[in-house]
This record gives sequence, C-alpha cells and structure tokens, in this order.
Amino acid sequence: MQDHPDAHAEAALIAQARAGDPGAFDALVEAHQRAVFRFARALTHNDALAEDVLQETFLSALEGLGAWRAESSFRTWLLVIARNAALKHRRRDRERPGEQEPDFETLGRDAGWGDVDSPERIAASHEAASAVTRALASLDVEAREVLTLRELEGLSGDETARLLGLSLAAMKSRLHRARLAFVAALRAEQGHHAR
Amino acid sequence: MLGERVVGGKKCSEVLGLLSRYLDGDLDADEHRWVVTHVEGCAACASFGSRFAEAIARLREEAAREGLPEGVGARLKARLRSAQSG
Repeated sequence: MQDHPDAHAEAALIAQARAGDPGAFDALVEAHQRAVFRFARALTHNDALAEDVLQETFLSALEGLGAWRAESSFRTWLLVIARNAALKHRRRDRERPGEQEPDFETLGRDAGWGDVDSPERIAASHEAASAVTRALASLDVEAREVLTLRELEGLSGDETARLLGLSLAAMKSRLHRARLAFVAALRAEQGHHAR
Repeated sequence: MLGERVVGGKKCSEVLGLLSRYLDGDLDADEHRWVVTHVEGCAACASFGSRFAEAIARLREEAAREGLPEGVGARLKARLRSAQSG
C-alpha cells in the first residue's frame, strides 16, 4: 500500500498527463494498478472481471482526468471509479437475502474468542500467506470490500466511509464484523491445514 | 462466551466489541482504560486480542507482497495505448 508517489509528485504527474503526456499517465497507472486490481477482485471475486474493471477504470480516468479534484486522493478517486464499474459487472449480492447480520459475539466465537484451549499462532510461512489470501477470498463481498480499503489500501476511516456511502460509525461496525469474520476464516483455513 | 467474566468493570463481550477501535487507536481515554484493565486480568481476552491483532497484521503484510497476475499489466497498457492513439 506504500507503492504510490507522494501527493506533490503525483499532482505534478496528473498535471503532465492532463497536458497530454502519455508517459505521465503511464506512471500513474504503474503506481495504482495493483491497488485498483486488488479492489476490483475483492468486489467481483473473479480475476477476469477484475481485469475488465481495471481496464475500464483507467480508460475512464484517462477520459475524465480533468474531473479529478485535489480534495480526494487520486487513488481514492480511482477506487470510486472502479467500484462503480464493478457494481455494473457484479451480480448483486443475493447470497443471504434478508438474513440478519450476526452479532459480534457470534462472529467472535467463530474466530476463537473465549477458546482458551487453542492459543494457536499464525505460522510465518508461505502456507500461511496462502491461507490469508484464501481466508479473505472466502468472505462476503461487503467484508472483502471494507477490508481491502482499510487494511490493504490503507484508506482512512473517513475516506472508506465516504467511498462506501456509509456513516463513519456504520463503517466501523462493518469493519469490526469483517475483521472478526476474517479471523474466523483464517482460523478455519489453518485448522484445515493442520489436519 | 462460556465463563464470560467481568474484569475492570467490563464484560468480555463489551471488550470484544471495542477490539477494532482499540487496534485503530480510536478509543477515548475511558474506553482505552477499560480494555487495558480488562485484558490485564482476563487471559482469554488477552489471548484472543493478540491473535486478532496478529491476523490483521498478517493481512496487511500479505497485501504488500501481492502483485498483478501475469499479463494483466501488459494488456492494460495495450488497451490504453489503443485508446490514446484512437
């Protein structure tokens, strides 16, 4: 998440790209393509669709570069474009229509809260890295989305809430649920591999 | 939680609800004190809190390692070139 240029250098690149310098736009693409792809994959759960979203995002950005305003970061602006593109592609999340969200305690129990007999640690290994990826992929789209913005892209709470169209309090609640669900999914992955 | 306790005036479930905001440094002084006091006297919450923080740290580290799948960057560049020249 630290792979993008500082704000000053980026503003200069944007100005050059607006003036028609393709090299400057390439540099912006290079700086942000991983973040946009990761977010698109979190939303679509599909690498091919995520690639379509990635391409549409940068094509829209190229056309609409004049619309970017410095009050939001360039990355956040791109992520908003990507989210709109992904919403057009992705099937609406009908996984659990009408189902009530579990409370923190239910999510916590799945994550090992109160389970004093299993002080398992997270192994520092290649296998553990794959488990992290699989655990994230196993979550529902809302959880993947908020975790990607906050933990992977490092957006602030305010930026994340604005991008998701939520109040700050609602975003924090969603983030906490998502983190607990992630810890539960990671625990399940590791339990699976321990057998 | 089986055997939920009250430590430092707060129940385990109340502390569970504050964990994310604790991790983000987003608690006010009273809330922060409740969590710290509770965790100092509750081994189960201390253990879970540390695993929770470790898992989130792992997620952040994994993100830093992840690259684009092969060919994605090149195809994006080609599509943009085509748009720029057209």
